Amino acid sequence: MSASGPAMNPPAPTKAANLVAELEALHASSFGWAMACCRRNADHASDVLQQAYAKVLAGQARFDGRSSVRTWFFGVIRMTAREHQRWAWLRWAGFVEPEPVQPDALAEATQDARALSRALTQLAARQRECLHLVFYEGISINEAAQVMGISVGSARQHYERAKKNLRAALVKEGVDHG
Amino acid sequence: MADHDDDAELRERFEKLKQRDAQIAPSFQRLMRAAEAPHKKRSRWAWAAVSFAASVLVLFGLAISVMPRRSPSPMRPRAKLPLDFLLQMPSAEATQSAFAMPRSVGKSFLE
Repeated sequence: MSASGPAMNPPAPTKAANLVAELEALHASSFGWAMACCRRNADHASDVLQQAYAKVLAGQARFDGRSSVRTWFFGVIRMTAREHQRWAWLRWAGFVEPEPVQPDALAEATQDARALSRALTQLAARQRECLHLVFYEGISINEAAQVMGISVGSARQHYERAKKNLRAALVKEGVDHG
Repeated sequence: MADHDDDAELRERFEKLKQRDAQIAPSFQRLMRAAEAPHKKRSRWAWAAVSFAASVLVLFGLAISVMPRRSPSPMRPRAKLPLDFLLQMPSAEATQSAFAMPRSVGKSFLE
């Protein structure tokens, strides 16, 4: 009945297959971000990332095209990590099976990466996340603020404090810094 | 200038961390496969705990409904205790009853 052609429709959100392909391309970054949101715990990060993928597949998290796929999915990971943290007591009690443990990943890491990883765990969550987004992902503070769901001014404050605290933590770890 | 050097050094450190994370990251396919069947992740212990809690609640409800209700006990006379005499004061009857002034006395007083 209707003669409206494809040009009349609003731009369609990324199709499911394309979205999965984009998520696959983002996978390494997503895991790194999940590590930052889980205090650098690889098992929890793996669990959180899997739950985030499950949310996307089940349609609980939908990409509406208002931001980049990375910004959107990092937000999903961040929320999932918060939920994961809330249910930590259930895992502690053994009601939920933990993910298979990675073979002593830290032991295989380089000295520098290990020291940085430990130093990062000493920072407050927001500070760690902010530094991760800027230095690990190489994104601007503005975009970091968008991912973290805070104002740019607040993100800038976290960033400055985080750098200062990270320097102190690295010195404490015995890394000659600066 | 020092701040820029500092940032460059941090960037370098984070780059190493990124390489390390890439080595320990689980594969995308494995996580996606697991994400497609999230219910399998639930431990049988979780279901056992939930069913145990549900059965305890049901049993509790049943026990309450089956339990015979006690009828209110009839008033029993108070037992006399050995130190009751200490509470007995002279003219105790006066304190236990309210004194009522005859109506006519009050009326004459007001007039």
